[in-house]
Amino acid sequence: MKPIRAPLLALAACALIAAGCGLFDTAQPESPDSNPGIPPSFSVPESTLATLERAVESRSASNYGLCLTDSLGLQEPGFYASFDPADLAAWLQEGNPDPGIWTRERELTFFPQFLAFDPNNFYTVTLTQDPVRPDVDLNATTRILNRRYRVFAGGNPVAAGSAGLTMASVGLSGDWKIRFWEDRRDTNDVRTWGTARLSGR
Amino acid sequence: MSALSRAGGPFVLCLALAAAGAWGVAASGAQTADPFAFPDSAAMAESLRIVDSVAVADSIAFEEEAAGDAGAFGNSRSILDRQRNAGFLSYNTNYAVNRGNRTWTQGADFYAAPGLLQVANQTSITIGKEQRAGRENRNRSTRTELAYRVAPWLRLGGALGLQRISDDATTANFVPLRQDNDDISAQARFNRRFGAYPLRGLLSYGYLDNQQFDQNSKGSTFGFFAATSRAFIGGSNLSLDVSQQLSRLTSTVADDSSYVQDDRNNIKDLRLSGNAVINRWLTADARANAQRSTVERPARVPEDPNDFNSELVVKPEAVDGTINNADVALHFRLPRGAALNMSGTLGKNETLYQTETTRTTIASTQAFRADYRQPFLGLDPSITYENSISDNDLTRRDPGWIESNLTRRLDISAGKILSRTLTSRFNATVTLTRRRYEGFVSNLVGTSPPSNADNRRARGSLNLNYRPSPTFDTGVTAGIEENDVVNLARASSINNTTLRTYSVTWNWSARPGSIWFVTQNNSATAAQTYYTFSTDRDQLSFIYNLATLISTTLSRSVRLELNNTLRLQSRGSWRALETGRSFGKSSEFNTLDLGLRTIYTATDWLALEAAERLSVSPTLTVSEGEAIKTNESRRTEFTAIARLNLPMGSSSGLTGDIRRTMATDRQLTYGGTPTDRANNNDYWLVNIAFRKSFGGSTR
Repeated sequence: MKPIRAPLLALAACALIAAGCGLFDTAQPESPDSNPGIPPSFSVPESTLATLERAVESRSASNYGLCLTDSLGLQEPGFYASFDPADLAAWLQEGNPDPGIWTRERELTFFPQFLAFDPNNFYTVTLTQDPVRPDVDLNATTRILNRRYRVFAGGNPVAAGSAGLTMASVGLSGDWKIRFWEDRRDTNDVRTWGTARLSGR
Repeated sequence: MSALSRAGGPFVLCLALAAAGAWGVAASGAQTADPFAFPDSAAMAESLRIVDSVAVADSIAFEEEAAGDAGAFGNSRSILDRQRNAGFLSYNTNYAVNRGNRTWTQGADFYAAPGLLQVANQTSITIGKEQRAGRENRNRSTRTELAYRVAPWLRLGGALGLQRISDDATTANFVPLRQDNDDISAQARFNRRFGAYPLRGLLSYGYLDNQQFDQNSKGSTFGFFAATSRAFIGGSNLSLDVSQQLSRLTSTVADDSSYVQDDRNNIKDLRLSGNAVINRWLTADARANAQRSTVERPARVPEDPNDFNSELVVKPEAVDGTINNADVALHFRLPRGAALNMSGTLGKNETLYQTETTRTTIASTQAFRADYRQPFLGLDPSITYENSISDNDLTRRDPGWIESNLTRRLDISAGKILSRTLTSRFNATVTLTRRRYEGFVSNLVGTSPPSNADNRRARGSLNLNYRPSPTFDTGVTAGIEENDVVNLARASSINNTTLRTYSVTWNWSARPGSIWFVTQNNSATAAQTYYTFSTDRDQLSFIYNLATLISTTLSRSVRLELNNTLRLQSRGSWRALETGRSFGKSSEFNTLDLGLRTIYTATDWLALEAAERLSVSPTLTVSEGEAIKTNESRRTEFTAIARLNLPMGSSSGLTGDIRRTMATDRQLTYGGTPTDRANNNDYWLVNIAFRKSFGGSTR
């Protein structure tokens, strides 16, 4: 070997050794939904809401998506959501375009962004009966559950408001899913879930 | 015979003594400068909630802490031995304006040596005002020293120091600062050579009175400092510094006349450094430092340590500090121009608070670095490897943990001159940072440690430069970078990303004729963001940047400059479909910046400048393929600048930089009800300095 090539080979060897022996490898992260916990249940509307709470708390995008109606193959409209008029007006006043219809696909895209609002803490979600709006049974397969929601992360509020959740019994198994989320403000100083959807986090 | 063997006995003996000293000094003390004070002061700033100026609160806390520790010993540095300008008296003053802040500084330095007597005085006054917080900060100090030369190697004398510090603000929750430090001491200085060893030393004994806002400490102080060194034939040398400061103070507090505390303060410091020329191929250098200290003082703490709202009570505080640092380096000069350098560092730093235990910090560092370089085949390749680990024990806080940081870097670069006009350069770097939080402790419900996280950044670039003539050159650089952000915990891993960036930059400069200069820089960047656990969020951004500068020299005293920057950014989703990746643009953010500058050199000491700038940044949202302008920000700015550098004879001079900026910021929104808000943002930036020397030149 010519001596002139030795430094080049030494340099290349150092680089290959450093790169190849794992000196610069990153560790394997835990999956956000690696702890499945209690399996989802959609047998009654309340169990669907409990599944939704747990899906947010355990960061399970798949279980969250299962709580929402899907138009695919079910011969029925998929999930959609509306915004509190005051939230929508404030959004438009800031110069943003009209958000249009908030569909299931947009909700599933939004979900991880919502979790990223406070990435260092797990969220806690509570859904309680709205004290001023009772539930309504429309028919045997459709109910409107009015629920007050509170979402916290590490003690800090993430979202608060009230939602009129139209629950529908769908499919051959009759699973109860959320078809329509009518979002409403019920606090002055904490953003609603709808505002979080608009701002994308 | 090598220098090491020539140094022989003394070198090895000193090394052994230093090592023994470093580990043998009694472990009881706190260093005066606390390098981990910032988290504390930041926390203090937060608790003060001075929303007007967090920086103000930070600086106050820092000053208070530094002053508090220094006050335990008094000022033992001598102004007789410092370097000074020619002349027996020099005076300088500086006045600065930074928007709403004003600072006026004055300083005087006096030195005279009539016969065997030496007299020196140093006085400084700084007054700072911050309009927004209504803050006024005053710092005045004067120190006078007198010495009589008893023998060429011995001086006897004394020192008197006075210091007054105050800090007030009208802002709510501001904690004012008052501090009066007076010290008087008798000193003996010696400077004598014993064979090959020069020995310098200082002994001082005096009285210290440290009056703070709500407490007072007064008593006696003792200081000792000695230093020696040895130079060996062949270039090797060794130096040793030892110092000890002691004080015994009686501390009282303003709101409790019966409270008396006997404080004993002690700080010992040992420093050893040296370098050795081992042979013609190898040199080495090393440093070691050990410090032990104890500072005692009254501290105000909540009566119930678990209730921050409980009443503050005074308790004795003792801060024990330990510092051990050592580093060593080897430098090899190898055949064919090759060079290899290796260095290592070890350090441990402990500050233990016995009463305010949550302020305790225990930190250690280890670092290793090696670099190798050898020119061959016209290349100039080099490789550098670094690995450092730092640990910080924060378990005395609630919540608390041990934070461990690792940083590892490998860098390879090479350059080659391809021809008389063409050069090339290649660079590749990979960096890994690893952050771990272990030993989590907390009594608070619902708290968790920050997520362990890794970050790997790898980048490479290739650059070609072409310079066919002195009036034209151009270059192109292509680069690729990958940045992996890996949060390990489930709570945070939803945000894990891989950011891949491709960039191309092209620049050129031309000097057509003697009065023109044009340079332009173009860059195009595409950045792909891949979310590991939520692929629906994948994004793609494009950034194009064009910057042009045209400079025209109209005459010997007038120059015009035109600056234009165009920046176009767009961003959107980057979805993985069955047919491949698809870009769905969602927003645009553009910036157009245009500036014109005229520089007029009126005289040798005065230059005037006028600059005008317009910057427009529209933001567009793309909805169903249509770009809708949602808002726009505009800034128009005019700046006038005067720079002066006026010598006033050989012993004085005036320098200054005065600039006035008048700016208007407009914010336009195009929502349901379009809005147009404008506000003026005019300000001054001034810095004027004057200096005068009596009995000598300032130049």
